Amino acid sequence: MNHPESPTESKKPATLNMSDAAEAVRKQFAADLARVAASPSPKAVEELRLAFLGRKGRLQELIEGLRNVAKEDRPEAGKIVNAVRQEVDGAVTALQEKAKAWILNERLNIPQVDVSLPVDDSTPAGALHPVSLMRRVLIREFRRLGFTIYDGPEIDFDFYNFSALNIPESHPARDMQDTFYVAPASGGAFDGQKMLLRTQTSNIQIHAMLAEKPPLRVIAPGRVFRCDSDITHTPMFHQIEGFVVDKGITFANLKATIDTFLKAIYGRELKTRFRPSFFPFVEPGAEFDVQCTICSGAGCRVCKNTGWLEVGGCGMIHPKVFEAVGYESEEYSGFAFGFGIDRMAMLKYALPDLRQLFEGDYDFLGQFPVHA
Amino acid sequence: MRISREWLEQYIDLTGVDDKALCSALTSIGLEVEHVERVSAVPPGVVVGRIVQAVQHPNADSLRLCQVDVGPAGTGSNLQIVCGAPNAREGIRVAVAMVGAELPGNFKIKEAKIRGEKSFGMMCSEKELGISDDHDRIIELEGEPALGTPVGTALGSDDMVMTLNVTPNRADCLSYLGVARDLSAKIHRPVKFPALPADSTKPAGTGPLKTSIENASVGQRFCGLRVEGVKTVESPAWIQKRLAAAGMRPINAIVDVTNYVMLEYGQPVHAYDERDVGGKSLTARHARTGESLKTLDGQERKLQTTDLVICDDRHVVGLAGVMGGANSEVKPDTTAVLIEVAHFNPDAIRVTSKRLGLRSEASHRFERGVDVQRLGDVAWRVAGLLCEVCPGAKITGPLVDFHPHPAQPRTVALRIDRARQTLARKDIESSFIEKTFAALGIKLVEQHQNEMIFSIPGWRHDLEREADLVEEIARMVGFDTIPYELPVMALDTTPEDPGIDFAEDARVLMAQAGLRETISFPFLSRDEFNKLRIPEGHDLAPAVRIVNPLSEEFSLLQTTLVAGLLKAAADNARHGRNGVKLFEMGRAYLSRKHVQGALTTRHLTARAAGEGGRPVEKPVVAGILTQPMTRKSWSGEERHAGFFEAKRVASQWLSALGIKDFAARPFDGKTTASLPYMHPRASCLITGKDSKGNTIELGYAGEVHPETAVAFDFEADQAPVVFEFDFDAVFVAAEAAAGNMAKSTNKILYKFPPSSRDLALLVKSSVTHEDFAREFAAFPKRKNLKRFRLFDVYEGANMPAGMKSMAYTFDFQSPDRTLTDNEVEQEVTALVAWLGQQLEAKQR
Repeated sequence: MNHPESPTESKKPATLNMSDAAEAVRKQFAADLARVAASPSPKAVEELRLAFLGRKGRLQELIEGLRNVAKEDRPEAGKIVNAVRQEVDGAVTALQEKAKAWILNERLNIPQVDVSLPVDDSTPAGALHPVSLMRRVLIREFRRLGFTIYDGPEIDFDFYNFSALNIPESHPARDMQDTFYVAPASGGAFDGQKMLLRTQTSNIQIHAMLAEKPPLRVIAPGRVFRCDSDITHTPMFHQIEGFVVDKGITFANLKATIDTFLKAIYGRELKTRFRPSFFPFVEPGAEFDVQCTICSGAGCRVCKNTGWLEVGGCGMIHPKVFEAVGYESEEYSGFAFGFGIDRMAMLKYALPDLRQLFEGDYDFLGQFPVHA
Repeated sequence: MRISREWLEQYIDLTGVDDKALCSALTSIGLEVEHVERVSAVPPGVVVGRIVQAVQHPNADSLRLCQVDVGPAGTGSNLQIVCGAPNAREGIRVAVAMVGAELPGNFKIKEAKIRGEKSFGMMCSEKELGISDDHDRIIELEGEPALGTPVGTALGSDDMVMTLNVTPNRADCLSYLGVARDLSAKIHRPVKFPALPADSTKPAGTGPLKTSIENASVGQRFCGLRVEGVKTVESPAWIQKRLAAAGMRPINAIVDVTNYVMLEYGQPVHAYDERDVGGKSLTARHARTGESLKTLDGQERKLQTTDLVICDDRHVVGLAGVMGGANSEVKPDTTAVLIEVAHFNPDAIRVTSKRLGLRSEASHRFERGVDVQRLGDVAWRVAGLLCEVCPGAKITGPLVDFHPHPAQPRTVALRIDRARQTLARKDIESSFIEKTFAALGIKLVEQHQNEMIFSIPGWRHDLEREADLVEEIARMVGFDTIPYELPVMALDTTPEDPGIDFAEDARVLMAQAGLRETISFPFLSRDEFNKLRIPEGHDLAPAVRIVNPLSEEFSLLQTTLVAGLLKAAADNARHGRNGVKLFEMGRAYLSRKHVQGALTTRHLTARAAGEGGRPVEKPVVAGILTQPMTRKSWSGEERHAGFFEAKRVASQWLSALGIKDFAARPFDGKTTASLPYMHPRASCLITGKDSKGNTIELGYAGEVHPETAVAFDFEADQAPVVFEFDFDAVFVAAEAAAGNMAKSTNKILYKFPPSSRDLALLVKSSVTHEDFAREFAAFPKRKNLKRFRLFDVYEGANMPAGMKSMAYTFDFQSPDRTLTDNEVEQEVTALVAWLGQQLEAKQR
């Protein structure tokens, strides 16, 4: 378009030559420009730029060609070359702008991705076990109430699991729990004391009370063992024990604490219920129920038409337990509670069979999230 | 304990208390109704009918021809029924057994022709329906029950049988009277006790029967009575029905009466055929060495000296409190019986019944404790009831009562303010306590300002101290009347082991690394230890054995979680699930002599471990990945999970926990032996640093030993990869890392871009990446080398023998300027020279 006419063309052969060369470059550029402008990808534009404006580009060739032009003709020839250069430069710059728009448009106008294609499963999301998920929820709720988490031995002496909990050797309550007793596998000795796999997390009451001083506000989740195996019992399962010891602790405190956490787990609208029951290490002893989460108390198959789901046992800590750990039972009082985590998890995730929890089935485990 | 409402009503008036209210009252006082069953005494197909017309049978003087309206149960017209009962008359409502009904004794009602007249059904007497023994007349239903309704409903004879969960402390409620008594205190109606023979009718003087107890460790009291003229007839329908409701099989009148009274009073009773009791003498004693007895169930039992027996003047006739002897049982021709009503040592009964696996209704009650004070009443009740059901029977001889040391009733003091405080019920009055306790048989003997002293009845073994009486008050006021009040406590209570939170986070991070958490039983068999190639005496050999395992498969506790994961992975593979990624957090149960070090950090476990030679419960976390790691898919080929995948997951997890300073080391001879189930060349130990900078073992990762893999049903070249960490050690390393962070965190931010250079270095095959890393760190002329990354390892073609090429990218960066090419080249040259000097590395 801006084709500078050269008035000295015919008089100056060298300049004339340069003019021809410049014209050839201009024509070449015009052709290439037309081609690239049809689809100005940044890559094609850059190639165009390099071909003409690069260190070894066509314009550099022209500039180098000026050396062969007679000295007196050089200013004129230089003007011609410069004019071409400006022309090319301007066109390339304009095209670079176009290229930016072109690439945006190009990227947007890709074909629809088949979003249904499966992802590579080399790093699938993992999963926490439903019992772990349930335990996390329980720990969170009890922490809100100021409880400390306590851990302790699964293999324990009779003293911690039974006798300190007011369950002497001959006590009929021992019939309620079938105990695994253990011995060294070979040689060695556990000091001749009777050792067992704890049948309840209540052993932590004794460990914690012996290790710490009141006031105490503790929960102890953990594994427990009973020699029992059928459709609703596994030889290992999970319990959580909780207890509070301080001056002036009452049964009303027990009720409110359990009610608060059950409502946190199951919802504010559900009622809780306390029934007298018997556990040797509490007196009065109770079992606590929550209104059936399925039928809200109307009665259904899950609650066996009672409207209530049994959750666990609780009560005021028996003075004999305080005596066993050397606490003054006139000065301190306390309450304790315990319940099964597995059953709670089964209810939460509507799992039909307790045994599934411990079979390690990969697909079963894959249903659960990493966080709860 | 099965409790029939009909039977219970013999002892307490339940008028106006419907079934639902009864169940909830029992549950509210701690006698939890676990299950409810409705039973009808009347068979199906027996409905209410009305005699519309009754005329003389044309062919039989003693029969009547009746037209009976059974309402909607019929076909629209009246039924013609021939009936012989004298009271069959127009207008009365009767029980009609329709054609097809089946009455007790397999009596099926059919269409019949009686003396030439058709009869479509039968009008029933009480006996025919099994309600009573009355067979003189047909049932006349009172009121106007709707025609066609089932007679059981119309009679109100349908019963509810409740299964009560009687807790072990309440032996007294293993009886109808016990349940009635508890209920009476709740619903304020009196208990009706069965009538005992009047004193005037009780024989006086002396009789031939003698009872005795060898010593106080056998039992406290032994009562006996002699009844003659008894017959082993069927017991009356009402006894049979009630026993059946309670879940006991009726046998004969004598046995049924003993069972009936046991259920009534909770006191087991035994009857001996007098002919089989030599010297008419019954003695309770410990069994002697070598004695044996054939019990009623026909089994020959070898006795031990811990067992209690009853013997006559020569031999053993019963296993006291557990089961009678076959040699003295009641037989069809028995006419005189000796009745035993005794107290036996509960612990001894418990030991015997457990040892013999013989749990009887009697042993169940003796173990939990019977009421010594009431044995005499029970004996009289049995004898009286025997006389009632066996016409002609009579009690001969007085009550024989061996009771050398009658105990004084126990007294327990209750402070009213303590009860009020514990139950947060300031309004509980002493008068309420007194009245309620009186209904329970707990008598007030003294009352001071704040203190009430009660005498505890013989049937309440569970009431020993004040707290027990507080519970009685709580039961009777109702737990639902106690308010809800959250405790008010100091905010800072018990200190917590910091490892607990760490464990919860570590679990989540492991799942985030792409593994699914599993939980398995920690039990292993000897065979599984063999599969792990762990020999006896090895550090990881089983340390704890279960004395009474469910089976041999479950007899040893795990010393590594890898075993459980291999089992789970193999189970999954059997179900066609490959490429699984599982992890588990649990404990390894180890012998104390093999464990030292890290576990001292965990306060409770550590404290427990210091005590009495306990085994060590080492917290561990382990994972497994089976082949193939990924299956072929549209986006990629199938991939194998090798050593590096195990290392990758383990590293990712450690890094997420803040542990950056860890190293993988090959197994040397020693460690190969210590992890016999791991591939010796494709596994590593992973070490970290404690807070003092000492190297500690964190765990290991790698491929399972091919023999172990094959033993768990994997192909040798498809062995899973696993890792396992000592959780306490990881915690120590994480704590150290957290501490070091403050010191080492890079406070300088690099804002000028790095300059990168790639170098391929030719070294001997034995040189490891760790060697390079060490030399990079030690490079004395290091100025701007910021980081390095291995991008290629090449061995093989075009490589001199025994040599390999390792190629690294190095980033050079300065915090305060952009580096010049010259500066970078100088440092690269120096680095190449350094590596040449240290590792004989040559730039390719």
